[in-house]
Order: sequence, then C-alpha cells, then structure tokens
Amino acid sequence: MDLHEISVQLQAGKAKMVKTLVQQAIDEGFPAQEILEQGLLDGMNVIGEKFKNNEVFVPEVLIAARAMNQGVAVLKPLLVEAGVQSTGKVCIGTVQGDLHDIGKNLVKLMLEGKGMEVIDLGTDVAPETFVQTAIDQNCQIICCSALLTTTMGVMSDVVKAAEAAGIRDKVKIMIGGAPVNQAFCDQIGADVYTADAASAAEAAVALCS
Amino acid sequence: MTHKERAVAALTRQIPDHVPTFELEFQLAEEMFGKPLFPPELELGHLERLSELERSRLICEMAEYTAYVYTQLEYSIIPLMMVGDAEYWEKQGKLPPEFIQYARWVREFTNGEVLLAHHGDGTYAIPDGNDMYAFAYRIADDPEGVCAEAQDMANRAIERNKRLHEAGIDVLLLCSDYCYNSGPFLSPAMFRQFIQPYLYQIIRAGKADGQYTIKHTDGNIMPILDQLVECEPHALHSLDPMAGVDIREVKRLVGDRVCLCGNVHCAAMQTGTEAEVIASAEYCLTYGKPGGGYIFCTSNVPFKGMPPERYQLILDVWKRMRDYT
Repeated sequence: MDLHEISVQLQAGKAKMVKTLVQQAIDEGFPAQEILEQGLLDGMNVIGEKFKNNEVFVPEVLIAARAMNQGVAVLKPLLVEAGVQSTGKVCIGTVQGDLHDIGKNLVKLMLEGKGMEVIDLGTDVAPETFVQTAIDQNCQIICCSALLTTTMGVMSDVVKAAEAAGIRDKVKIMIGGAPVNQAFCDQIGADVYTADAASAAEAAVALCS
Repeated sequence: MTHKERAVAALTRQIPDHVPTFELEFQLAEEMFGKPLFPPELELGHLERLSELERSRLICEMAEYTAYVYTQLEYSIIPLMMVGDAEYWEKQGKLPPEFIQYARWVREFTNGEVLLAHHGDGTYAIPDGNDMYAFAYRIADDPEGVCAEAQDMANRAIERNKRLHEAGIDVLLLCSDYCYNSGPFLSPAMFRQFIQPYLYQIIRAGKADGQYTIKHTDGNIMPILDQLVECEPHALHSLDPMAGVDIREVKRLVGDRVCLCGNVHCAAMQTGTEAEVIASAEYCLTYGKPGGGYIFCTSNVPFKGMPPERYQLILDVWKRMRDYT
C-alpha cells in the first residue's frame, strides 16, 4: 500500500478509513514511525498549511484531527515498543482570568499534528501552574493564549514566574491570541509570537529541533 | 427629520439629513449618566419579590431613563434589553410581560420618534470550547441532522420575532457571530449549507412583518460577504477593522445593496491614542457616508471599561462630519 493514502484520507477527515489503513500498513510490515510520519503527520501538515492559507476552516481541522487521533491510537503501542520519541514537549493554556479556548485548542491540535506531546492545562491558568508543569513534566515550551486585552498582561506574569523559578533559560515561552502581537511579545520578554495556529506549531518544532 | 425617519432612510440606502447613529448595546450609562440602564431591582431573583405595582413603577422608570440616555446620545435606534425572564419564551411561548411593558413605555417616552430594536437571530454562531468539537463532528457525520436543527432554530426565531413585532420592536438585531479575525468559522461552502438559507428565512419573515434587519457578526466577513448580502438584510454591522475589514472596500463592493454600520476601531478606543481614535471615526464617515446607507457606530459596542471620553470623542467627530447638506 501507499502510505500517502493515509494522509489523503486524514485530510478528508475519514476517521474510520484512516484507522483501517493504519492497521493495514501495520499488517503489511511498515515501521510504525514511517506510518506516523508519512501518513498521519503528513496529512496534518497539509491541513495545517491549508488552514494557514484559508483553504480549509476550523471544522475541517477538527475532523482531520479526529482522524489522526484514531490512527495514532492504533499505532501507539507500536510507537512505544519502538521507542519513538515525540518531537518535543509543550504545556499550553489560556492565561488566568480568560476562559476562551478556541485558539488554544487549535494550537494544541496543530502541535499534536507535528508529533509533539502536549499537556493541556485548560483555561484560566495561573502563571505558577504553567511554570510548575514545565518543571514537573520537563516541557521545552510553555504556550500562553489570551483573547482579552484585560488578560494579555498575565503573559508577562508567566515570563516573570519562569524567571523567578530559575527555568527561564531552559524553557521557551510562546504567546498568541487576538490582542497580542510581536511588539507585545518583545515588551514582556517572551520568546515567540505567532499570528495563527499553524505558524505556532511550526515555530514550536523549530524551537525543539 | 425625526430619528426614526433618519434611521429608516439610512437602512433603505437613502440619504437622510445627517448620518444617524446607534449601538448594539451601550454599556457606559453609569459612567456617562450616573446609573446603569438596568436597575438591580429588576434582575431575576429580585423581580419576583416585587408587587405588581412596584414592578410597573420600576419598569416605567427604567423606560424613562432609557429614553433619556438615548435621547442625550441622539441614537436613532434604541436597543432594548430583555426585562423579565429571558427563558420565558422557551417556557411559555410568549415574551415576558415585563419586556412588553418596557417596550411600550420606551415608545411613549420617545414619542414614537425612534426605532426600537431587539435581538432576533436564530442561526448557528461560532460554538464555544468543547461544543466546537461536537459541532464539527456533527457536520461531518450528520449534515442532514445539522440542517434539520438549523431549520428548527430558524422557525423558533421567526415565531419569536413575530411576538417582538407585536410588542413594537421595529428592528431585529441578528447577532450570531460567524467569524474570527482570520476568517469565518465555517468554510464558505459550509456557510451556504448550514447558515445562509436559515438566515435568509429569518430576514425575509421579519421584512414581511415590516421589521428592519441588521446582521451583525464580528471578525473577517470578507470570504462570506456575498452570502451575507444575498440574505438581503437591511444592514451589515460591525465591519470589524481589527479583523481587517475596511469600510471603504465594503462600500465599494456592496454599498449599493446594503446599509453599512460600524467600523470605528473599538480596540483603538480602548488602547490607542486620541489621534488614532479620531482618525478611525473620520475614516468611517469619509468612506461610509457618501450616497447614504450608512449608520455611524463602533465596531463592537461601547463596552464596560472603555474610557467614556473616548466614546465622546467619536461622537464629537460624528457631530462635526455627519451632515449631508
């Protein structure tokens, strides 16, 4: 079989078909990492790029991600057995005082689509929680999201909390959300600002490589 | 011209004596006029404990204050808040009697010289959080079911809007948000399947009853602008500059088919300089006003926390540039 077919079906959001094809690829003896990279992650990469270019929209991303998760579930025991490592480890959340999670969820999907391990802290996350999670879980990146002008300032507190905990040189801090921009990122001393979810995932991979 | 005549002229893309103004909500009444529009005594939990006489008196006072605030602001359209149990419609199939009373009083206090507005949408908006996943999966797995639910929602909105019409509501504010700053939540093809036919039905039914319709959505509407206009609302609201929507371009594209409202930069009003605020208001009037069919307003609402002087600043620009003659 051609592993590209998994990518194509994933892009179309055909979860059952993806699951079947992944199993078929396993049965035909393809290595788990190859199925993951050339099938599942390739499909999500294409979706991410199209999303960035407004060629596909949020529901299509979510449906593709569901297909990917079903494929990964089939593959996971083999990935563990083969000792395949994630491309990086990230903790992500919407900052304290802010309950908006659409942007955060999209970034999470895109990060997973790049093969990263993501710890989702949810919404209304205190700066100390971001930092403690990064320490406990050995995260290379903290991703902060905010939708409100009234909560974006908490991102600065996350940077300060990382400094206070002595991990600022070990962890990168990425920010995103409607009210923030590169100037704000520079102002608070965060490492990376991206304007959309797909770019965030690309930046995260670059930081971890 | 009365405020009503002025608003009707703009909504029907004619040229009034001057550009009218209004907002979907005005949240600065306390800051600018001394007390909030909605008295705490009329909130649910308190309302039920009032005698009928007390209730009527408070609703009458609220209506008088509503009329006073919006008269001072020179609004041509007054957005009425829900008074009474907002779920009353779902429970009883009727509007809350308190709301009907409130609308009647506001009309009396404004001598019927303004248009009264209330929310009337019944189409899918961008879902929140985990609902977003469920909605996306339903679109993929059960599109017929999604359409059936959309039809049911539209039918209920149409029935409710008829009751609003009977209560004296002239303008339906259709406020389901469809777009992020980056673009629509749904693809244009999905929008045409799951939203547009139902939005059209709601607008058509309102118009058949003589109501005016203002379709609001935040975000970048440009990929679905044509579909919104095909639904034939009287006006499009927000024209969100934070999402890159430019009133000059929208006016060029569809200004001959729909009245435009908004585009004054709300974020600048909150965090920008005075010069940026003035520039945004001047830009909107410069490019929205020509040929009629324009209502001056912010790209969202004068929200709680916005400095009142910033809102006053755009009203000053409006007064300076609003006249057609």
